[in-house]
Amino acid sequence: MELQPLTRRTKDSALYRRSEEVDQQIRSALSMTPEALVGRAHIANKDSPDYLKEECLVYLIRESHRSGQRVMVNALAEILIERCASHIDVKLRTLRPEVAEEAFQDVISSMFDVILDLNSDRGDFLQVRFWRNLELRIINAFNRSVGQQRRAAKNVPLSSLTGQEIAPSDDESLSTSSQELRDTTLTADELALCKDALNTVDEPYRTAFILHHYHGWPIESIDSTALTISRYFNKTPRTIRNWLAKAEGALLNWRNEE
Amino acid sequence: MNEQTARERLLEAVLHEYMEAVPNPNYSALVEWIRRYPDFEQELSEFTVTRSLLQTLPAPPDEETTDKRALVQRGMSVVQGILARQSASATAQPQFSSLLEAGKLRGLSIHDIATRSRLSVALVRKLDRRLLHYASIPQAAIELLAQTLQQQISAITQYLQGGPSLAQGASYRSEKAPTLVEPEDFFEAVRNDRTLSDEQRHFWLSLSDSHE
Repeated sequence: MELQPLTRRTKDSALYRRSEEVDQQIRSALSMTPEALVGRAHIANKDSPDYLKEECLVYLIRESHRSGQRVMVNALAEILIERCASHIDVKLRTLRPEVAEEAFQDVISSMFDVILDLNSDRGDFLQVRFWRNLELRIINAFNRSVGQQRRAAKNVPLSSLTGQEIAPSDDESLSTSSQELRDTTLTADELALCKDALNTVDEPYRTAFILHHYHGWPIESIDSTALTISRYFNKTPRTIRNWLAKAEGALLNWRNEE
Repeated sequence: MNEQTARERLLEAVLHEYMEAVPNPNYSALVEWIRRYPDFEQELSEFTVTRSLLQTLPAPPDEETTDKRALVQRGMSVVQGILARQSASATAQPQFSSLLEAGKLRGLSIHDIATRSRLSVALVRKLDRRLLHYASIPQAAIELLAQTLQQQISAITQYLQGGPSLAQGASYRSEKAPTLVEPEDFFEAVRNDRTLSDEQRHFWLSLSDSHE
């Protein structure tokens, strides 16, 4: 049985390819009656030999759409959404509830826009690595929400997404002593303790804190072209140190209150 | 449907490979990827920062997660919206049965199409009759044709993926039905085309290195 080929290319111009396992699942599914196919697609146990991978469901939705089987499109789309809805929701939960709701719809829309567009190969990667592509779409939706919020409330980076207080404008003016502006290194235990309290820290202090302490980004570099927190936010190193001090202050308050 | 520019397609491909190669956000890896793709510094940085936040921020308490049934319903209403939009636009979608016909609709001769797409007349004919192996056709050729014919890239892509056709208006004296030759590799056709200018040939062959 000849399957629809993928036509999308990698950055090195090689064509994307579905895995052999997915191709086999597709062939097997296409030989079933519609009722049996929907029944099989409902199997949620990944260890079952009859489990249909998400990459396979994407193909089947497109094929059903191509042949005008609207009922089948709806049934398979619903199963696919059931499989990934909670995953998307949890990832977007750090956004304010109404923003998270819009971002959720954004992810579903971006995914099905390409699955149901039969004139385009934009969704090919969903048949190759579904969960990776979904992660990309979640991150893009998160960033779009951030962008929209920034545009809606200029000079309020990230803050409005999180439902937190808006951070004071800036920061060169903060009268922070040189003692407070030292670079601190937190132990693994301290970082683990802080993690639960990160949602109590305002933006953009929180992002700067996470990048520096959890992901090892330097604040500054003698090489002006090097990637640093200062370069990323387009702020001076002094401002970034102020932000880190603010974050640490908020975390210290939280610990004292605990 | 939104068309993607060549830059957006490349960015998407780069991000996919970045995610494959770097499963978790990592500063050193980011620096290395920015060195490889300096034009995407902002996008790679934004992407990694968001990944870092999503990975590090604490998960919401269980009671704050949304009811799954409600999420699925919300998702399905999005799907229904897309299907409805597609149905509405299907009737209004312009169709063309060949590249030459699409050109004619815009008042373009085959020579015009060739010149504007940096191709020869012979190559345009081969593309029109789908005598070139689709997988070998570079994205730049598809984009130039789409631009010249004022069509969506997806429409050109879809057309070029169809089966080969016989020359229009040709008559065949043999009693046997004419057979179609195997599709030719695009770059092979470029190499063998003596009507292409040196500049055109060089332009297309410079793309062959990155094309498998």
